[in-house]
Amino acid sequence: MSRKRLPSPIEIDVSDTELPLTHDNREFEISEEDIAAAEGKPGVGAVVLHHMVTFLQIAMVIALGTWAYLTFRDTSFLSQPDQAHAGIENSVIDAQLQRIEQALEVYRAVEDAYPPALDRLVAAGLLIEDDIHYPRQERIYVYQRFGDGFRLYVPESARTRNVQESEDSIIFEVAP
Amino acid sequence: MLLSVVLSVGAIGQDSAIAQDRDSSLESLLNDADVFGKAVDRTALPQTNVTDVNRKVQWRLFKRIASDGKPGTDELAVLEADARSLGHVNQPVVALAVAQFAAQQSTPETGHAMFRAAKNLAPDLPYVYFAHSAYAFEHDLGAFHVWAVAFVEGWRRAVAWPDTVINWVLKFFVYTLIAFLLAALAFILGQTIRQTPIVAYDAARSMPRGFSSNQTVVIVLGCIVVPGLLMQSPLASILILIAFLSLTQTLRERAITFLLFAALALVPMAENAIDTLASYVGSTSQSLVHAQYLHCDAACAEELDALQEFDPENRFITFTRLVVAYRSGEPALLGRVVEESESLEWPASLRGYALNLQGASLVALGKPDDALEPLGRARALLVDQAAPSLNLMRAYHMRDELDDASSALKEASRRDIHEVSRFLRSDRRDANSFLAIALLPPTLLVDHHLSQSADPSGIIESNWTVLAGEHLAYDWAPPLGGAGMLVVVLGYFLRRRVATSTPCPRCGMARDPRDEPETGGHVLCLPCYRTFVTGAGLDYRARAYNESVLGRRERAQEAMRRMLSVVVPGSGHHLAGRSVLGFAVTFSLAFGSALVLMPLGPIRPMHELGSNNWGGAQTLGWLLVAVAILTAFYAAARDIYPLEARDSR
Repeated sequence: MSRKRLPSPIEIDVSDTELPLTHDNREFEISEEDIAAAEGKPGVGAVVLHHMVTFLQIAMVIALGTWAYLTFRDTSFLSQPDQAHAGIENSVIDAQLQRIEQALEVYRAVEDAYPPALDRLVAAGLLIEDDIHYPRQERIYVYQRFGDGFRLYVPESARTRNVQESEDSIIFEVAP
Repeated sequence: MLLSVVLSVGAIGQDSAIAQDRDSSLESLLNDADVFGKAVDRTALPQTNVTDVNRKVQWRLFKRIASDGKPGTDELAVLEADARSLGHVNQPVVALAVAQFAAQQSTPETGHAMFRAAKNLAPDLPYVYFAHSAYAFEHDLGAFHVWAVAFVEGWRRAVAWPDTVINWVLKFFVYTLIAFLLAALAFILGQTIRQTPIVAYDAARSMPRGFSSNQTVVIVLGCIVVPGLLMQSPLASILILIAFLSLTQTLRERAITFLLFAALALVPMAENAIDTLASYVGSTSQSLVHAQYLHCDAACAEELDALQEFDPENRFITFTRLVVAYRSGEPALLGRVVEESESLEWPASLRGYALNLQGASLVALGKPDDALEPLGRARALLVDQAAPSLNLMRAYHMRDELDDASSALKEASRRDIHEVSRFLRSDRRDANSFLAIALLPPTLLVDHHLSQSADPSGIIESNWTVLAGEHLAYDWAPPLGGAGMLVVVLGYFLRRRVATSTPCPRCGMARDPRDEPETGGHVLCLPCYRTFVTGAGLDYRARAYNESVLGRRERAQEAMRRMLSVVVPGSGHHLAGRSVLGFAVTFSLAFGSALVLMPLGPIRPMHELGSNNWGGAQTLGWLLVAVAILTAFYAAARDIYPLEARDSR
């Protein structure tokens, strides 16, 4: 029995949807076994089933999209909950109070007096701009200078640094 | 071999030269010091008559002299000696203030002299060393030995000073986590684009007849998305996605995936580490470090008493209180130090320090005979410390046993020449200047802090809920990570048994392992192989057509790799299968950016004033960013050749 010769790639209507990519001339010669196997396949029923499954899956994708929207519509993935930094923030504030206190002491050692405001520590190059409100943007450190000491505290917490003229201080006041 | 012999001989010769230099400098130091030139009283050491006013006067003198453009080192030396008599070990405020003056000096010689004096004021802190290095680099670039040595010495102190090292470790740890997370996202992005068609293809292969590839994709998508929706957890879907993708990954991609799951399993441990490090500020350990290594005034002493009352058995606190009592130089308090050092039970790690303190107190009280025994034991226990030997030298000298005193001094010099040099600079006769106390090593106090349980801050746990939702509990992280690692390992063995497809390096489509007999195990998929390798077998028009279609796909792949390299550096490498390099690029970009934008870290150290670049953190950040961006841009300009997975198993 002679082999049935199928069209070569040249004769195929080449389009983007049907590519002759894996077929060369040799493979377009089909064997009897292949023809027999093709004859045994279901025809219309399989096509209908295929399109039914496709339809159901499109419906499933739409349903998934709707479900996902309904599930996560109230969730903000770009914002953290308020308690996210609550635990560590106390450590950060303690460290900032120590840091600002050190800067105040260095400023006083150089300039013979505590600065009138914390901004001066930034101007003097001892602190960086956001040190005086780190870790939050709103300014949280209150600085009060008095006599030979200062008070540095955070209004919404009990964290306070009270510094009077101490043994550690290198500066002494000269009577006018 | 000849080279190695030459280098070895050179190294030995250099060592010998250094040893000879050290011995000769030691001899000259001892001769110059004239330690045993005059007799020493056997009476108790007097309390110092130095007061705080002396320090302040010296500081004013220094400022006046410095304003005239002179270094004022003599005044600073006297200030240092006064401070030591008063029990100051390090004076960071004064040292940083001197560094401020020094940094303004236009004459390098004056600046260097000021910085050297400032180092003596805070010998254990790294900051003056770093400031000196920066100054020398800017004003005296040719003096390599000055700025390079100062930089190295600064780092040596930075890793030993608890305030610095804990903050830096925390900074690097947090930034590593952030960078790891971003690198993981880039990896997932690249892998999703690269591996999803391959997974879908292999899934379609294993599905019953009648399912197309598109339908299989939808089914796979459902398997990934539905559990996440049911649990209201995006993280659940992401983890399933990663596990799915791992089935067809190459070995290096699989290694990165394994790393992601391992990191997930270690999340609670990471949180615990952050809590412990972050809680150092304001902790008992920090108070002890400051009391011992800076100065302890009345308020500090009260705080120590309160801490001891709260934890009576804590010998770290007890030892620190005894150090503070010793530094007062008052005979009554010295007697208390002797009594408590002798009567209390000390853990092995502290016993040598307590014995040395006891011996030093006895010498200060004018009882050198009684001091020999505890000092001898302290010398045997503290083999690296010079202090017991120095105190023994004083005790022998008081007993007029000059040979033994000389031996003790030489032994101290062998143990710590810098400590001896510092010790011999002062000839004052007060407890803090005449004798040496061995302070607890900072590492011991850091270990003590790390052994304490910190209050949980919940910094990762609270963010976990944002990504994982309420139903995927934080406690599930280790088992989820473990399960993921198991999937990756099992997937590897599965792939050894059942070959999976791999992305074709040219068109990016699935390279089916069943085609290997036809392609001879070539790295390309069958269509690419037939078109580009054995194209002569095709009709010329079909070949031209195939080349145009496959070329379009190849160009699309290439364009995507180039575009992704610019948009998300590293993800282009993932698309090409070069995952380790891609991960490194994204990681170094994220880590470097964090260092550039927040060089001081999430918790800012108290003494890092006046610069953002302590220890070269910002420089390192810029370096990492530059390397990552150059790599990404080079990849975008030249394309990244896809990895050729020759063995699908």
